[in-house]
Amino acid sequence: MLAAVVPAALATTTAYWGYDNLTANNPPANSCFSGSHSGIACSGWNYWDYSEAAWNSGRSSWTLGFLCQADGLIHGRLFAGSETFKTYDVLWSDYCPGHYNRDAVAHINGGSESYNYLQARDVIYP
Amino acid sequence: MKRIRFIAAGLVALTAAVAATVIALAGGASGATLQPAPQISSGVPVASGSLGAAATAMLTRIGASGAIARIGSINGTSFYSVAGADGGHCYVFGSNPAQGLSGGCIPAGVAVPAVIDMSGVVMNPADGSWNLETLQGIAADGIAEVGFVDASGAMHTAPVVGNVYRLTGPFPGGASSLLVGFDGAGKQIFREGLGSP
Repeated sequence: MLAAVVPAALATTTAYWGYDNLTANNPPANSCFSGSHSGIACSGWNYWDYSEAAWNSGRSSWTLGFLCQADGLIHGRLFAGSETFKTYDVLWSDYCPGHYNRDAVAHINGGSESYNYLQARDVIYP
Repeated sequence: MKRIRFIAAGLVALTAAVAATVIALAGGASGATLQPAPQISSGVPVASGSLGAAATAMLTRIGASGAIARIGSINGTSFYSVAGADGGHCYVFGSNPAQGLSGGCIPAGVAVPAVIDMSGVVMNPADGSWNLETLQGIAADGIAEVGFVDASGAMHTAPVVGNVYRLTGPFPGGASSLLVGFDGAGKQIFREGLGSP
């Protein structure tokens, strides 16, 4: 559970994807787990507080969120391609019933381009 | 549907008419060229720090250091606008700010869309198929309804009340999926493809 007092400086941030192009084929299949579809990158299991992306360019649709332990599905925020949010943070409790999950970022076919150039990060507070 | 659309349009108009505070979304001390955000008449100023330490830490992290306004709330989810440190525009939401918030900032000089959609999806990682789990976000003045066109072409609409909207799915996503916005007369004034390049 997130502590009541969490100074921003104390967060630990770890990049698990990029900077690189997130596309329908990158990362390739089986990158997240054996049997996972292409275009999905994810971190390891932990009590991540935020799933974070630093977006640079591209206009395809994509999602940033969590591979929730509860149902094995990726729940995240939809980016349709027209917004240009720079750093975006997704809070675990807005998407998963439990705190122990994997951060995930995934390409969704769509938008006016076929890629997004971004970095995806784990964020955890002590 | 027409009745719902009429009521939603009326509420939006009423909100705009009686709103005591028009929130200025631009701010910050940067010298960057500022891009005006779409007009959002609803909103109540929120004192800095009043959302709690976790929310404050998140806002600092994304570069949202300016004035905060709560645009509105639907079914326990609140939507906020925050002035960015660089003069840009930040949009966040959350159901429990004591734990934190979800959102990000659009840098100064970058256009803000009339529909700032913050919808949620659920994706099956085994095959990449996806559903829209929640249609939600902030819409500028003049948008009375936001819709999602699902994989079968069916439209699912949420009325915009006080510049915010929220509708719980799931709705199947696919190649024909779209986000659309309508004015009070039912005219489509916003459209964004989701399914195919």
